[in-house]
Amino acid sequence: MLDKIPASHRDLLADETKAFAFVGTTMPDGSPQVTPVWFNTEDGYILINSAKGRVKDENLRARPEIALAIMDFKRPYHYLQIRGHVVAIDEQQGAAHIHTLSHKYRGEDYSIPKGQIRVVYKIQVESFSVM
Amino acid sequence: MVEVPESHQDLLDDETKAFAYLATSMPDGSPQLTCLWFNMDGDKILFNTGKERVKTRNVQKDPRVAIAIYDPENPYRYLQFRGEIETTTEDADQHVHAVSRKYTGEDFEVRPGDPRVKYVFKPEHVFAWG
Repeated sequence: MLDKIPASHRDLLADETKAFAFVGTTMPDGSPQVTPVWFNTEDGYILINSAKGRVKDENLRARPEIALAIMDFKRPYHYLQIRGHVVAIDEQQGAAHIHTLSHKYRGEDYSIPKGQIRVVYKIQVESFSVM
Repeated sequence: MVEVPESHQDLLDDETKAFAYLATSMPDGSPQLTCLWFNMDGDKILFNTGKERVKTRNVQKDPRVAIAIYDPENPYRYLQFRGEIETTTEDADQHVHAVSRKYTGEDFEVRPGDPRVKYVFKPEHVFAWG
């Protein structure tokens, strides 16, 4: 599905753009939660990263449905709205992945606090719209 | 009513022209996220959109929402809210112009056959980040 994103908006997915993703997940009581995250793409999936035990981590483990809005904050009216679900949750690759994201956004490794377990979430895009 | 920390109150000022991401719940419980303009009425956050929108149907069915308002100069700095939205058509047609003037300096171009609705959001929880 990611390959169907029109050319006009593919820049949002490119590393060079350093676009941000706002992510919506569902709380245990069914209410929504929203937070901004770093992301990248691989093999047609969107990858995001968080820490084990955080609200979004627990939400996604319990309910894999996710909404994303990918935006270039320098061009706020140019964004991608995505709905999909998490197809894989990987702790083993979590640390390597956060370093990859940190290099995308900051050009350096991430500083993982001692004891924190990083987690990668692989997201399959089911539908999208563009602004 | 929750207090927005002073350090981040500027994000709500008209001059900042910050954007809001609004998360609603679809009928099947999955999340939906859109970007919106907003303005303030005291400590209430007001949005304006079309009556015939997925988000409008969602909040009329389940008023619980989450909102993130980020600093246009620094997206690492943002306010995160949870609470409920009430929708109303009262004043919605005038309100859309007020919101439009905040961001563009001009009235909004309302499309015929696209009636407006105002969302009134009262924060129940607020967190400041960055």
